[in-house]
Order: sequence, then C-alpha cells, then structure tokens
Amino acid sequence: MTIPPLAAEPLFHIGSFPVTNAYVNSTIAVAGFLIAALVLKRRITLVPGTLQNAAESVIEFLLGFFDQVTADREKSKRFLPLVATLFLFILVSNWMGLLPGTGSIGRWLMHEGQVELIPIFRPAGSDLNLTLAMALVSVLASHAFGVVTLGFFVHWNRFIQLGTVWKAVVSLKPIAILTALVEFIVGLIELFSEVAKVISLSLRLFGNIFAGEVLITVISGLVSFAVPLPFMALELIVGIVQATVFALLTLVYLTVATSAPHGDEEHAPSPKAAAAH
Amino acid sequence: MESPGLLGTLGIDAKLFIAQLVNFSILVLALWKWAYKPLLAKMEEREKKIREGLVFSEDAARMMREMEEEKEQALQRANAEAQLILEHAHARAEAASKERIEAAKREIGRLRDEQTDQLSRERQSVMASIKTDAADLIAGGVRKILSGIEPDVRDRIVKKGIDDLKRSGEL
Repeated sequence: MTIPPLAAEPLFHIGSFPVTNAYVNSTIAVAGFLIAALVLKRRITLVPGTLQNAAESVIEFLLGFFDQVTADREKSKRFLPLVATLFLFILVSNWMGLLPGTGSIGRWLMHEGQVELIPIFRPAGSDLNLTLAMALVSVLASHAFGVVTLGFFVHWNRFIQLGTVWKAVVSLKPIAILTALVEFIVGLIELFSEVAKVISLSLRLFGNIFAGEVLITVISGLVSFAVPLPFMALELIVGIVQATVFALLTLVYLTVATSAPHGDEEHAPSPKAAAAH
Repeated sequence: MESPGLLGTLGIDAKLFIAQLVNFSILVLALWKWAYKPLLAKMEEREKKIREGLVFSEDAARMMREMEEEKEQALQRANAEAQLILEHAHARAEAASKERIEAAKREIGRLRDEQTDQLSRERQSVMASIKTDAADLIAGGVRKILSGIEPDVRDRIVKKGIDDLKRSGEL
C-alpha cells in the first residue's frame, strides 16, 4: 500500500511539460464535457429530446438554485456559464476519482528514488494546480463582472477607497475624514481577502478530495472488500458537497461584486442596464 | 538534494497550473458557446411561445364567450321580433276575417233586397196581368149576358153598372 503523495505524479513528459495522472483525469473530464456539449448543440430543437431534456432540467435546477443567492434571474443567467461549469466539472471530476481503476491501474516508474506503481488516473481535484486555477478564474471573474457592471472606479473603490477619502477631505468634517481613513484601511484588508479567497477555495477542494483519496487508499489497504464501500458512498456525498460549496462561494463572490457598494445604491445601474452589459 | 519548497511539496507547477487554467477556460467558453447559450435561447423561445399561446387561448376563450353572448342576444331579439310579427299577423287576420264577414253580410243583404224588389215587381206584374185577364173574362161574360137581353134593359143595366162603379170610385 502506497499513500498517495500530495503532488500529482508525472506519467511522462511532452517536452518539458509533465503530464501527471491528475491532469489525465481532468483532461478526460474536459474532453467528455466538450463532446457532450457538441452533441447537445447539434440536437437542440424547440421540442426537446432526451439529452436536451436532461440538460434543460439541470439548467433549470441550477438557475432556481442560483436565484436563491442572486434574487435576480437575469443575474443568475449571466453567472450560469461559469458557476454551472464549475459545479458540473468538479462534481464529475470528483466522482471519476471513485471509478474502478483510478488509483489502482498504473505504471511501475521510478519515483523519488524507488520504483513505484504510479496510477494512470488520479482524482483531478487532488491536484492543487487545478483547484488553484479554478479558484483564480472564480475570483478574477468576480472582478471582471464587477468592473463591467458597476464601472472600473466604483468597483475598485471598494478596495482602494481614495474616492471616499477625497470626499471626506473636501467635506472638512473630522469625523467623516476619520471614517474614510478607517474605510480605506478596511478596503486594503479586503484586497488581501481576495487573495485569501483564492487560497481558501483551492485548498478546501484539494484538501477534501486528497483526504478522501488517502482515506479510500488506507481503508482498501486494510480490508479490500466491502469495508471501503461506506467510505466510497461518503466520498460520493463529499463530491457533491464540495462541488456545491465551490460553486456557491463563487456565486456569492460574483453577486457581491456586481451589487452596488454600501451607501452607493443610488448610483448603481439598474438591473436591465447591468444585464445589457 | 534541493528542497522542493512549500509550493513544490504541494505539487504546484507553473506549467501544469497554466495548462489546467487553459483547460478549464476552454471548458467554460466551449460550454457557454455550445451548451448554455443555445439552450437558454431555446428555453426562452419556448417560454415565449407558451406565453403567447396562453394569451391567444385566453383571447380565443374571451371571443367565444362574447360570441356566445352575442348569439344569445340575437336569439332573444329574433324571438321578440317573431312574437311581435305573430301578434301583428293575428291582429291582421282577425281584422281581415271581420271585414270579410261584414262584406259577406252586406252582399247577402244586397242580394236579399234585390230579390225582394224583383219579387215585388213580378207580383205586381202578375197581378196586373190577372186583373187584365179577369177584366177581359168579365167583359166577355158580361158581353155574352148582355147580348141576350133587350137593348133598353141592357142600356139601363149598363148605365146602372157605370153609375155604381162611379159611386164606388172604381171609375
């Protein structure tokens, strides 16, 4: 029994690019989604078939779910491509990690000085590169949506509140200046929290999937039959929960980023104007 | 051996990170273009058609109700008009019937008067004829009777008869 290492193991190299087992899984998942999307695109009709019906059901369910956070169907539709993709991709990747052969079929390769069985497939979420990339996309997208919806200066004034300080200074009220300075410092802290968002999102998913992988490996190493099944069932639930948490947090970031800042609601664009972007 | 550091221990690799970033970005864009966008458009189109259909169906139902009401009103109007026409016809028939009976009565009266007059004229004519015939018969009889009597007696009888007639006013 070999405990899976933190880092995904390279199977081979293309030039200097290491093709890892987790990357293989994520690429298979991406390819599967692309093929499904292409097939779906060719079969979209006004009277839906089985595949379109299933896809529409998923979209309707997700939109209804998103509405509870955004409270605005137009916003939900705008965020759907990113958040739904995150949810579906993470869910499928997590569940692919439970398929037979993942973590067990591999190649005997030299790894850290000794010959080990390197699995060809490993859960995609157990590679921090992937979770970090997704978290970065989420946070950057929230800023992009914020800038497009509210405008560049309104959005960045949340973090670097020079406008608020300037207004307070012009008003010549000491209390207002003091409040503006406090808000300026809070804004800078908020800027750091954006980095923390990326780290927390990526580490949460990575930690949960990696821990699940280690747990299944250890339990399977101790008792091969029957006993790992409840843990695998739990991993199915973890897969859904982690996909939901990641997608929902992204949705919250997007919603907050596109909402008018506190005390600036009157300058916020109308939902129709925002949707026009 | 060189320590991989924290990022290395966690498996962070710039090339892999960029590759995963590109992979995921391609997935988002492809799903947006091939799945979400056309699906949402089709769903909206279907929703719009259903909404239009519902509105059309409500309009059709309203129009049908209005037509039903209109039909009911037309039927009521037609019934009222028919009743009126019937009453008029009855009244006219009654009046015509009375008029014809009156005309018949008048005609009968006229015919009766004509017949009465004709009968009266014929009776007078018959009476006149009878009188003439009777006078002729009497004259003939008297002539025969008188032919056997003496001229003096005859003249005296004739004279007396003429006097009697003159007295009675028949001459």
